[in-house]
Amino acid sequence: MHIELNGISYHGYTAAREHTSDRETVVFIHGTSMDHTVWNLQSRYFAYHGYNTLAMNLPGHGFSEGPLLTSIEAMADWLREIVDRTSGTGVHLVGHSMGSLICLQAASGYTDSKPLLSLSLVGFSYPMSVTPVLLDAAKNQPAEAYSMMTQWSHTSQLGGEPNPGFWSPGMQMSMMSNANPDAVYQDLMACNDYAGAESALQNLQTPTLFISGLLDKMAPCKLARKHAEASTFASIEQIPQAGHSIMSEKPDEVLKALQRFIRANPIPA
Amino acid sequence: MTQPTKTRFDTLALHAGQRPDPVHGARAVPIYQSASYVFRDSDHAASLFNMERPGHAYSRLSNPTNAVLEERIAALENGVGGIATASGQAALHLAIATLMDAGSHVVSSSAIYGGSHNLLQYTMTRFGIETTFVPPRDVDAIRAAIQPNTRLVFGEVIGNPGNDILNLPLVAELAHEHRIPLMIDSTFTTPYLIQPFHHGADIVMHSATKFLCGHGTVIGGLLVDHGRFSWQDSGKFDTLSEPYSGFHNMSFDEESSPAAFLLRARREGLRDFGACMSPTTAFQILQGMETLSIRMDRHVDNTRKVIDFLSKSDAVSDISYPELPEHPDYQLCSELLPRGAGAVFSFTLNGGREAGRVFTEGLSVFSHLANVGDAKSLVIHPASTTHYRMSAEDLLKAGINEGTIRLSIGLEDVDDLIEDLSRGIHLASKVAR
Repeated sequence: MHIELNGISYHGYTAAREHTSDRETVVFIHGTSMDHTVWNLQSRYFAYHGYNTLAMNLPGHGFSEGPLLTSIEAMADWLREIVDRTSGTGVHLVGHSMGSLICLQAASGYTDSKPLLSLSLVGFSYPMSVTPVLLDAAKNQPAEAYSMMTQWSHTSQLGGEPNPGFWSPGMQMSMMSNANPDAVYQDLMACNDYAGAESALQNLQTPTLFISGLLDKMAPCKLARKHAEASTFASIEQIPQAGHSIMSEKPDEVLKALQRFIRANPIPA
Repeated sequence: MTQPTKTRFDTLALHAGQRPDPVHGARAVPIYQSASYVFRDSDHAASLFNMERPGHAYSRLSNPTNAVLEERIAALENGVGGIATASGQAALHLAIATLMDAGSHVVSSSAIYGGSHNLLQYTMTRFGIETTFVPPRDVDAIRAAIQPNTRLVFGEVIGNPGNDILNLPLVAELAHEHRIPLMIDSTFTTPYLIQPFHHGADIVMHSATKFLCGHGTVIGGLLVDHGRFSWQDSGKFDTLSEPYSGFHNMSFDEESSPAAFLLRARREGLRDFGACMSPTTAFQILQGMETLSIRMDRHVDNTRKVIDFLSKSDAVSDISYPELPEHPDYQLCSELLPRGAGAVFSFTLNGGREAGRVFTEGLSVFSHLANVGDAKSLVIHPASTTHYRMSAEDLLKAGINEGTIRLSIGLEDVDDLIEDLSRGIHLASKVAR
């Protein structure tokens, strides 16, 4: 699906399913220098199990046109506009890593007529400060940054993950290498500079689920746990043997957590 | 965070794609000799078939043992994934069938394996796919051969029979200028000697029967995708960028750009053509790959010593090994293949067809057969075996002559190999014209 905003075409994956106005819509947002592909398994499942699914490519990412956005706030504004253009009875936001910050920020100022039913923050941490060595690589040697992020985000470079025939570190490297080379630095800077999570979390009144890999080196689980415990609206699923690439390392576990949570938060009768 | 370190080749060769069996703790890769897999419930079954969940449903589509092999070769080649096939020929066919339809065209190096040549020259033409063969060193000819309907440029790193080295960076650039992928058969080189993706290739295939397995025990093929070619930007690959009614209108490129080729190859090609690998075969190939670097070093080392011996013999001429300064690709070889130019080469045994036959039959350590890449040394004399009906003139047209001998150097003690060859040369000298 392509959604046009201000003359720019943005792409969202729907699993080749038409959206219908009588269903809730699950919107997935990817992380730094990634694209909608990271949500393949989970988004496809929801598309065939009673929901509209929309795995968006951020501006300048994947098949989406447009300039890169340089702050989490700008990306959240864009996301709210995208949600405004979708059909469906209500919205569930699901974000990974940088995408989790975008979803949180979008939720904090959410005013759309379609109710925001739930918020799932996967691989979330706050602050999401980025180590200078990675920022430097992202700015000057993107390929080196892709390599660092690929290695940090997997619990093992040896693979052996559930999706038959695919070597997940290679998939991540190719996905990032195919992206706009400026995206990795811009996205990491946006994560690093984002200062709105504290107030967004304090104001949160949407049911929120943190999903975190216990071995996540990039967004340590303990940070997500701290925020989950501080909010009456939040809970956390901690997934063993999973790092930051949790959707490929533990796809079924992530899907089950999302299934339970999203089904538990339907549009009020 | 501390700086990450990349896992290195030998470690990947031993471990990539496998985590120790969580149920029984088996350290070796288990052979999952099972046609199908029990579903947890109907929803699980439907999700598996619809690609909503990872896992195995039926071994023609995927198998846990094969999956380890597929992941391991992808890790060693630095690709996104792999597909194990029934043979190297099946891998080539699967790639072609995935990328193109009737009316398409392939530009292929003329210096390729005879089986690949047959598939492209004769069999695929019956299905409307034509091939233009060009000498691998003639980049202008490759450029001139590309047509609007060309969908693939194909070649081998080390060609057959003259061991021509394909200039991968140059040919890749040329293919990409025309928005076409470059596919490389890297059977003779394996990822230990060269990783074609680092030089611009987009798809790699192997006959895993050869050096990857390394022991001459099974037939198998592998396809690996780098995941960097943009099928959508190319605009020439409807099979990957347009909705496929045979799988719920999935557009494979939209499903996953890096994985589009492999997704369609598996979801259509393996499903419908069915040329899948047996899990026992996958296990054997995995066993071979665990020692790949050690074996390839020894293969190359033995080859260099054998060539040194042959080059000093008056009975031998025209040794076609690219590490020799007189080989036309000597410089290119040193750039692309610093670890060695493999272990398969040809030479001319002076004395004609009968001398070649006597030489071959007189060897006792070398095995006389039609294969390469075994741990055991192999020999064949085409003029008295595979090409025996051909005249001397026709042999020359095929790039060989009556005295051409092909050797695949194995892992034996090299002194025994040299003694064996010396004995064969002595016998051949008695019948030489």
